[in-house]
Amino acid sequence: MATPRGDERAVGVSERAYRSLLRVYPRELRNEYGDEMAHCFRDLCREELEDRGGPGLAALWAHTLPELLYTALKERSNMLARNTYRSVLGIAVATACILLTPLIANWAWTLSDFVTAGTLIFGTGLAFVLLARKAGNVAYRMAVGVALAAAFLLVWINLAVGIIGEPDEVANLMYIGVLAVGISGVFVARFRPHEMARALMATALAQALVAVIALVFGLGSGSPPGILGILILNGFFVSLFVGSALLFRYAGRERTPVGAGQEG
Amino acid sequence: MGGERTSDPGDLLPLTPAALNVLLALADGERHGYGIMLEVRERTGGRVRLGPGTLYGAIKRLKEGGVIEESGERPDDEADDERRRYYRLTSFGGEVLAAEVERLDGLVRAARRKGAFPASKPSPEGA
Repeated sequence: MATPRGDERAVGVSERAYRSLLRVYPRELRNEYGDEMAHCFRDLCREELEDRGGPGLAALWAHTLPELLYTALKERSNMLARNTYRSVLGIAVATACILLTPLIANWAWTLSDFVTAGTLIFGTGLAFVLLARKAGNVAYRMAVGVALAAAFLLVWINLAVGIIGEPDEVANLMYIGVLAVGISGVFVARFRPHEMARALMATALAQALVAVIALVFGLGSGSPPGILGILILNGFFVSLFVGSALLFRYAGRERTPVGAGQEG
Repeated sequence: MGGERTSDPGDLLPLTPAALNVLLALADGERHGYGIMLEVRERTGGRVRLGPGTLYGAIKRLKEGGVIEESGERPDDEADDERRRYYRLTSFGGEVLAAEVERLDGLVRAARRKGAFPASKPSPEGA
């Protein structure tokens, strides 16, 4: 049946709009069935326009939009439940294996040491899995890995021996601020690579600022690791955060779909 | 319906209303997605309208479960858009459909025995 030209244009516009809305579905479903879904929707649009005209098309959209949102949510939660379950199980097993080392080697760890270490290792692994899922390329995953490794070591070293003087030196609390800058930066960046690069640069600056404050006010200078140690350790962390920022920037230049805005 | 293939049709029951409608649409021959939508709508007198999201979510899971498969043949090759994919029941899918219908039949018979369902009334179909 011939469709008037205006109707054909409305069908084309509707199909394009529907195709762009398909981005709310998980990539797996979109890649496999996106074209067919759009073709089906186009056929439905033609049929409605032929049968009932503009009101029919409006009614089709009114029926389709809630269905699209509901099914997208369902597909995403199914996918998340399936993938996250396996990943979390893997991290839990890896954490248990790592914690076997101090147990077998009979290190002088208390129960709270095991709990703290377990939480730290498991939390870092989980953060990597959740953030790396946003990755569309290797550079993004590496950037996430380096940033998390730096954060992990920063907390671990601080808890074990302290970076500025002894572990109970109050000045070490400034590193909480460094982590806060990083975490809030990640949320502001919403996982977009260029913005993540800026967040990591800000974290590196915060790290450097802590070192400057410690040196200017002579904090922890009388106890190990001393001024040189503070410089070396903070320099090490600054280089890790800067390295992560550069990797994020590189990941952004590759223009592979990355980030929550494009794929969750 | 899970993503893993299973050998016992009973493991996949109960089917979701969308999955059951897709299987019923394919019971008498292979169809493409839009064809499934039309068949379901006509069979249920317009009471059930599968949207593309519901339909292809169900197709994906049924395919993963080995219940349906893509068909290489094109029943209406001349007049058809070659980009359309046709789907058909697998032999396992036929067993799943039969098991689900039997399960529903058992429920209807139980309902009739208890007087919750008048025997003379035609059964409403759909989701």
